[in-house]
Amino acid sequence: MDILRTENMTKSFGGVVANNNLSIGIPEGKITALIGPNGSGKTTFINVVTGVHPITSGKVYFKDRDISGLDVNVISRMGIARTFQKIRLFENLSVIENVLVARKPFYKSGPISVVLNTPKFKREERDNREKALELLKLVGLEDKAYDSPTGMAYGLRRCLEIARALALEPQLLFLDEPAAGMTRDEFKVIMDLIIILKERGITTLLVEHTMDFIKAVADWVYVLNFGQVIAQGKFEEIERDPLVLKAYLGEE
Amino acid sequence: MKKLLFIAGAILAIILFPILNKNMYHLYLMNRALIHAILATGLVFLTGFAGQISLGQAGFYAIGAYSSAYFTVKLGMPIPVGIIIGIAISVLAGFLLSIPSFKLKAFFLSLVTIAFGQIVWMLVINLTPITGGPYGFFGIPFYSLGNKMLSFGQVFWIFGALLVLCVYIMFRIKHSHFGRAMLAMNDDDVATESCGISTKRLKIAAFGFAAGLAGLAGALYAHLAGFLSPEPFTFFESSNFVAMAVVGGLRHMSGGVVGGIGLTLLPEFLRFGGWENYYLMVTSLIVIVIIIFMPMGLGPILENLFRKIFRLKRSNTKTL
Repeated sequence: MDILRTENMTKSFGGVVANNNLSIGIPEGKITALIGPNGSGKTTFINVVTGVHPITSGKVYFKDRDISGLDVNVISRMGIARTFQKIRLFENLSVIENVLVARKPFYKSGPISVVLNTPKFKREERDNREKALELLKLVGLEDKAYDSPTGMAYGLRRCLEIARALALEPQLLFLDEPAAGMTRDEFKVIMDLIIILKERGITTLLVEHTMDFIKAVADWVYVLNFGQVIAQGKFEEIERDPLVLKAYLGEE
Repeated sequence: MKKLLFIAGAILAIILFPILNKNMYHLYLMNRALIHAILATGLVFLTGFAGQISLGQAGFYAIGAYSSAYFTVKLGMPIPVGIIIGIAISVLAGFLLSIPSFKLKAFFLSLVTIAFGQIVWMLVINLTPITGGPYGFFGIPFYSLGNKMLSFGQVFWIFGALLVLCVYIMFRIKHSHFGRAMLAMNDDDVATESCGISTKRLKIAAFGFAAGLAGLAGALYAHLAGFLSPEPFTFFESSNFVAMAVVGGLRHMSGGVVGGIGLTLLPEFLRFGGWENYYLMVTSLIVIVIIIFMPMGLGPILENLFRKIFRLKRSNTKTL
């Protein structure tokens, strides 16, 4: 069963077709990788599916529901969370508050209970703080919960972004180049994390350039070039695919 | 404990001021200062927390003032009802002004809000059957209890209580999921949306809240002054309100209070004999100096000062 599939999804920016007639299925409970040379449309794929960029034509189905054209926040609340290629944290909030922002959809208290500071709201706040701390523990940030994320090491900032995405309790998680610019030790942490998430039943779509990473975790790989799928299969299969080699290395 | 003591001290100061100071002009001025503090508090919420700019707050100030004046004078409603209607109409206008903010940011948004302020100002001048136009709106009832008119000192207590209430509401909202979402939106729209939060709804709420406080301020002013003319509702006043919020500290809970009171009283301190032509210029200069050398505003500086004096500790669970 595919948790998400696109049907002839096309996205063009003026004359540039970034995603051309993409029909991709992401199998539920698995780790799928999306690879391809720079500018092949990987990030655009994530941005169109999550609603950041409006779709030009085609459809996107999440659990068989048409989600094309919905607002970003609606799609996020349905259970699709993401991280960004260039890390986007809330620099004016503390580490734990960054995670708590993504817990907002779970709060039931309205503005009046907030102003009156009702016991119900206090309980809700305490429960969600506990939940956020749990997630920080999962990514190894619990001792930095009340620090500012601004000065933190790159790898930790990436982990915080993942914790924030997980706070939405997503069924599908998009990770846009989580290992970019990381040392080997740092991305080992993220690799282990992705495998833990898979055991918890979260489907992951990974956009990545680090081949060792993909080889180690991906169950299925799509290769994009010029906005189209040129190959798909297990990593061992696409590794030897002549079209893929041509796209990455050029022709002899 | 010390914090509670400090808050009790502040409330005591509000209670004692009119008892110790019987000068009518001083009291009138302090009432104006509290009105400005209420309005600037709304701007701190809108700009400092939610990250939206409004250079048209005088528009809401006018809507609150003329609505309350109209409903009390022409339709004979009691003052509190007039004020509530003024707030309600102002909030509705705030909801409408939030719509351009869905697409526009910073510079472009500020242009739209300036235009809004101008439109309201033109309506004030030209809608003579309701506003009295350039001739003014006369005979607005002053605050009273039964048949007894309240004194400026008693009005000061009411305004003080309303200001404390406004700041308290803002404090509670800031330290909730709504406040966090607004601060997040201030940092990054797209990331906030990706956290399942509708930034449109947040913007509607933020503009509505700030407009509500401006409407309240306007209505309070109408019944304090007893007479309305178009002058206090110009673009100059809108930018003055923004200056109050900035000088007080856009990111600080007390920013509106410090800036609103400070910038209302500052020109009065500079009214030396023979200086009448220059005191407004000096005020502007001081504002510029504060913005350049204390970009966070006076609020955080005063807070640190109080912390040193009372040896208060900063709790680590609050927003940085």
